[in-house]
Amino acid sequence: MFDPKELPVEMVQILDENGNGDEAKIAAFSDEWLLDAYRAMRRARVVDERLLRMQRQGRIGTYAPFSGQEAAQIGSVLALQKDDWIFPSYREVAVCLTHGMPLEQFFHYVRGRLSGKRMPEELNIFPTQIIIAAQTLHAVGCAWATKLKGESHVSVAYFGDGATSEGDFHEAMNFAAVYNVPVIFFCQNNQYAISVPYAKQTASRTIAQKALAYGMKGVLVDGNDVLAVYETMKQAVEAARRGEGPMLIEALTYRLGPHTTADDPTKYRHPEEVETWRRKDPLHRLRVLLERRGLWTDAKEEEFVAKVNEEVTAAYEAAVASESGSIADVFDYVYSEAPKLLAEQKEEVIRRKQAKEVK
Amino acid sequence: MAVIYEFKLPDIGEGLHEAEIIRWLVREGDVVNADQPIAEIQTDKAMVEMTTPVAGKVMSLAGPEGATVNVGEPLIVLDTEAAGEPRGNQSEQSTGLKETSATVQADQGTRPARKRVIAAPSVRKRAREMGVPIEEVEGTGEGGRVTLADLERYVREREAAVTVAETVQSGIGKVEEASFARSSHAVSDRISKALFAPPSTGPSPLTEEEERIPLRGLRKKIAEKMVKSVYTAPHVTGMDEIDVTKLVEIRKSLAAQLAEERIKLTYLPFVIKAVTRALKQYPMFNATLDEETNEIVLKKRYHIGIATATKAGLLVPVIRDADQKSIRELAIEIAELSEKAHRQALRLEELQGSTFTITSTGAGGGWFATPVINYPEVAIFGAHAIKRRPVVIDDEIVIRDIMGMSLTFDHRVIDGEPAGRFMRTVAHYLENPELLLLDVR
Repeated sequence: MFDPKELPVEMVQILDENGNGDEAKIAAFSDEWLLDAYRAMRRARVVDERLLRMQRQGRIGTYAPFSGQEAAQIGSVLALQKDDWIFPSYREVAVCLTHGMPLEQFFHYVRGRLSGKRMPEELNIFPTQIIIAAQTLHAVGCAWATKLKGESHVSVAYFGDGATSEGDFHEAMNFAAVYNVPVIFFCQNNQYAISVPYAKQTASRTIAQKALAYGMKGVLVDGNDVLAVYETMKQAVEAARRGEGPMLIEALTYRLGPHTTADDPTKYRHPEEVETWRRKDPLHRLRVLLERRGLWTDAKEEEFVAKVNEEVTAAYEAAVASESGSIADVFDYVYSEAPKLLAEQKEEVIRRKQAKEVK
Repeated sequence: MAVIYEFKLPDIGEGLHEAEIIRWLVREGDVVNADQPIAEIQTDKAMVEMTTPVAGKVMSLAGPEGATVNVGEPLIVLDTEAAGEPRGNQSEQSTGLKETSATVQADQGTRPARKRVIAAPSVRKRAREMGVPIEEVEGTGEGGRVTLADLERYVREREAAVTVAETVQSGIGKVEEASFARSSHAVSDRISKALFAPPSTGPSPLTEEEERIPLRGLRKKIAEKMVKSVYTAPHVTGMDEIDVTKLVEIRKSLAAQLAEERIKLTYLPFVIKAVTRALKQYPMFNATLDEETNEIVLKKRYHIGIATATKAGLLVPVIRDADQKSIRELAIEIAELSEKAHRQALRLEELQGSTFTITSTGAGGGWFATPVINYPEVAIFGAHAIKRRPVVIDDEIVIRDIMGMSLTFDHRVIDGEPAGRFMRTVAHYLENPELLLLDVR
């Protein structure tokens, strides 16, 4: 009989919350890599905090902050190659920015512009998926296509713990394993699906172990440890590229802020729990390591933060300045060639608009 | 020349109509930087910190704390020409965003009376989140800079001083705790909706016969909390008289002593001492009932809620580890909490975690009452007016000072007989206050 209790639960970790850990493994990371990772994470944190404030000022619409999940997002994306495919949900802002999405592009999205979902051609990032777990299927489809075409790209589906209760997730896992396609299922387990805690989400002790039922490898990694996330993701991506098939990665992390700007987490999370996780802040432990190597100071941090703030301001202003469009545009971006009914609707809308303007 | 900018309250939820101002973080005349926090507001969904999009001098605020602002109405009006540094005729949108990392100097120059604190914006933000007045924190960083570690040390020291306990439960009028916001909550929610919802006929025209006051904010929270308590716990109230003649004398002489130190001494600290002693002898009264597991949970610490009447309504600030505190310490803490309650300045942690509640109705509040339990606690003690009364002692009628007391208990957990013994124990200490000396260390 298979007994889940007999499964060992081990979590991959290189850097602990105090910035110590496996010295030999830490030493393998170059100064340059660590600085790049830290800058990407600090940039993401500043962007996230600014976006939250800008929502409170009525400058952008509903926003889903990701502070606390920087290591999981950035560690995983740094292990990818530029032309690997990313299938993000709405919280993967740091993933997309680090993979090359211009910040201005994201402002179009959070300001409700049609152009917000039209990713620049050269970027292999799918439009943000709002429907929970739907992107896991898209990622599997893309990976299958890659395999059939003989390309070497890997596809990555990003999703949260809540998505693992959806049918789409299980169908995607099953299909990926059966057809042995190069896809990574990267789950950021931030322990709450809006207000539903992990214990009410699944009876499995880990999400990683769900992989076994589909005949694929699963691994649990400390999602607040950027080094461990990177190493784990790198192994998974390389295996997929070698044709060894899909893998499920569970990055255990915590969202420090609300689910979205319309959520009040104090109603379902105890302040002490949040405090516990604040001490495990992914930026803190990396900063400690950088300071130990003499690579970072308060002055550098201030200078860098100021620079990112300027970048955010400039991106926002550029996005606002380039906003254009009319009601007729909403018909344009789903079909390459509009079906007859849609074309008629578009013409009607234009006619009515002109009639109004004449009056 | 003044250039006026109105920051209109945006729809910060999804389809909000209004928000309540909980706390202003700036005052009229203050000079603010772009992105500086200006207020905490309560929407239908969440408590939210608002920041100003532009820099400038605060000309006016939307109203006092507690006022409601509609989406689209000005929350704050600024004179953008009076900001820290001159700026040209930029559009409103871009003006504010030029000044990005400026929150570092948020306090600089605006309130000369206050100590200037050096701290990174992230540290200031943490301090606000932790409820720590940052000017009180000693900075150990470069040039006296306050760091995150300093905040944590400050909190640890403060906790060591007060021996703050873990918060287990929410106070009246504050955020519900997830742990007991389960099935019973849903039921009482329905009940409170049924009881307090406006009639389904839609908004009625104003008539001279009646006036309609919307039930919201603190009033609504109190309503929900009371409904939950009364519909969950079978309430039984016992009442008795206590001869507090000795206590009246002792308090009078001690009050005169403490008056020199500007400390006001009421009867409440004595009541708290008597009650915590009785709670230690009868642990069933310092408890909650876990309805999910069918277990009575005995609390090992004594955090006493003090029912406090304010203009806005009933609030219950909590004195932590009240059994460990002296009469003097209790008097000081009661004064502080009560003053904060009246200013609506209590922090969430000051309203959470009580294990037993005392309601002290004072001289004007009648001699007896049937207090409602501060759910999920299992009992509440009422200390009432003291009156000069004729009583019989050794077959003679004499005049004594008599206080009325009430004890409401949850009959699921506590029976009438132990409730009687509990009341007699409290009475014994209040009738013989010198007994409290026996435990003074």
